[in-house]
Parts: sequence; C-alpha cells; structure tokens
Amino acid sequence: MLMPLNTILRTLLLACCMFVLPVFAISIPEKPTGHVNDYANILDSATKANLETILLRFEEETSNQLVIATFNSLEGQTLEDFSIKLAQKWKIGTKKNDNGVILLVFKNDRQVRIEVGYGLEGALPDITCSQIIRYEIVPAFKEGNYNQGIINGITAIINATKGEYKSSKVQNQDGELEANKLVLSLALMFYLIFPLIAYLICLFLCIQFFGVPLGVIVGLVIVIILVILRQIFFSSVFGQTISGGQNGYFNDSNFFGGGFSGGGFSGGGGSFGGGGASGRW
Amino acid sequence: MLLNKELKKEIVRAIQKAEKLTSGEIRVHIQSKCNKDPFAEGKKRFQKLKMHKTKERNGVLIFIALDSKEFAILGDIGIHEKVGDNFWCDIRDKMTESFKKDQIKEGIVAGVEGIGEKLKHFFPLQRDDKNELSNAVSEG
Repeated sequence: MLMPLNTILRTLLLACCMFVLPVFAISIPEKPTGHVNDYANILDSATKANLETILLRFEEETSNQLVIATFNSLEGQTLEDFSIKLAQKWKIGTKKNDNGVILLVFKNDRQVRIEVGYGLEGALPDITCSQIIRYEIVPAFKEGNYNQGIINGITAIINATKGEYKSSKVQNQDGELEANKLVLSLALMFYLIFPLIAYLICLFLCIQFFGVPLGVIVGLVIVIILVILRQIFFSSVFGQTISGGQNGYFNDSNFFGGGFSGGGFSGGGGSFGGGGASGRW
Repeated sequence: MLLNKELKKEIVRAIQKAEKLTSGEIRVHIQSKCNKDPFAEGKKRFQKLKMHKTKERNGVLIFIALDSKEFAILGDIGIHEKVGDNFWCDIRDKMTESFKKDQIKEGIVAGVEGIGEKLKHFFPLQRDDKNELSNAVSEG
C-alpha cells in the first residue's frame, strides 16, 4: 500500500530532525590539558596564568583536581545534563578518590555550576556550593567582573576543601550589614563606655569609704578583678558577634607556600605552571 | 630569517650577561605570526623548548610574534611565585614602549636585563650552576 504523501514527508522530516538535532547541541570538548579552559574568553591572560598556578599548586599539594570551564552558551541543553556529561567525559580527579571539581560558567545563559566528585562531597556539599555561587561568584559576575568572580569562587572552593570556608553572606546583604553595625555600636557601648564609668564610680566609692591611701589600692584591685572577669565574659559570649563578618576569607597568600612536589595535570602534556604577561604594540 | 645576525648576537650577549649572576634561565623566541593569544602560544613554545625542565623552575621565555606585533613574557612557577603579576606587567610595559618606537632589539634587551635583575635577586648563582638551557634565540 502506498503511504500518503504527507506521512512520508512527516517521517522524512522526523528522520532529519533526529539526525540534525545532536549537531545543533553544544558539543563537549575533549579532555583538556590545562586547569583553566576559557572557551568563552571571559578571562584575561594574567588571571588565567594566575589561576593555572593556583590550581596546579592545589593539585600538587592535595591531589584534588579543580578545573574551570567557561562556555558561551548551553545551546538549549539543560545545565545538569551538560555538566554531568562533561564530568563523565573529562573524568576529573583521581580514579581512586574521585576528588575532582569542575567550576562551569555559561556566559550567555548566566549560569554557574560547581560539579563535585563523590570524594569531595563531604567538604563541598550542595549547600556550600550554592553559597559559593551565590555569595562569592555571582556578585562579581553581576558587575561584569568575570575575573574576580572566578578567583573568588576558586578561593572559596579551595578553602572549603580545607574546611575553612565560611559564607560571607553578612557582608553581602545590606540589611544584615546594618544590623551588624547596630550590634557593633551597642557592643562598643557595653564594652568600653559603660565599664569605664562603672570603674570610676567604684574607685570613687572606695576612696570615700576607706580614705585616701587604702581606698585607692582597694579600688584598683577591685577594678582589675572586674576587668579580668569582664574579659572572660565577653570573649565567651560576644566574641563571635563582634568579629563576625570582618574576617577576610579571601587571602590570596593562602595559596602559596608549602613544598613543591613535582607532577602536573594528569593526562596533560607539559606543565608550565608559572605566570607572565602579554601585550601588543 | 627574522632578525639579522648582529641583532641576534646582541640579544644572546644580553642573555649571557644576565645569566652570569643567576641560576635562572632566560630564552627569547621570535616568530612572524601569532594566530591566537600570544600567551597561549608562548606557553606551548615554553613547553616545546622544554623550559619547564629547569631544576628550580625558574625559566623565563620572551615570546615575540614580530608581524602580528604581539608578545608575551612567561615565567615558570618558581620565579612567578616570587615576583608576582606586577613584575611581569612592568617588564611588558617597558618592552612595549621600545617596540612602539620600532626598537625591537632595545626592547628585548631591556626585557632580558629586567628579568635578569630579578632572577639574580631570587636565584643567585650557585657554585655548581650549569647553563640548563641554550642562550640562542629560537626562531620559527
């Protein structure tokens, strides 16, 4: 029996689509040789060199493999799909420990993802990754500063694998910042001004009570005891509050120091791990 | 040939002089065109010249694409972690200045001297130092 023409056409079209669709989808690049794979060209060469050094060091010190990949667009694929496919193809991390991390950026889709190997999920659970994306990477990206965003993200990821990352949420949300300021000024009142008045009153009363030479001595002793007690009290109760949000977590110098143990990006060719600059005239 | 013999000799002399006081290694590579980022291409050349095989990881490559008017300075991990990004940018700016005036040789020599100074500071010459890499200008 002859098929109606439109059925044939439809079948043909369907066949074409099946054939063509995979070609349209973004193809996953081959496993790279470097840690920084800026396919979207959003990083400058100094930053790339700097990151490459940092990541090479990190790998040499911990064997954890942290790789950056930036793409222009997902081209219709879902973020999760693509990241998992990429992770499977690249096989980042050592086979034994599954300790690879990929920081993925899709510029036009404004998407960022941190793909973590099982071996590092303890140090980098989803919640930490989402905090890193939200509070370290995205704010810089929003300002168009991809270099800083990536550096912040990498710094945070590295710190997290060492158990040292704390979300700097407080620094990023204005409301909480205000609240923090209030706490700070209140603390200052309690911490400095009130006690000072109290000590003076105490000294004054002692002098009134015991007369001049003895009163001064007794007064000073009481004041010193009070100071010590207060120190203990404040450091245990308010210490946290007062110093919260002021610690600098992004200290580049964290990365350097420590021994150099050779080796390089596994599967890679040579291993230039330094930095430099380039220009034109 | 991209540079005449005299110029090359002067560059080699500058490299010899700079390396006299340091265990670091400097090389100059010159080619005519550069198809992508000079830094990426320089990195490849760095590996091809086996410059990452120095004992203290203190090789520095000056990579120049004459016709494309692009260049890159690449320092290996050992020297980079001591001098940092600013140093490379300083050298780059100094070289750019000469290149803009079409003083290619002067620019290269100034770069070699500047790098030699730093290398001397961080990697002073050791008694058993050997010239780990050739001083000749690499071309192609």
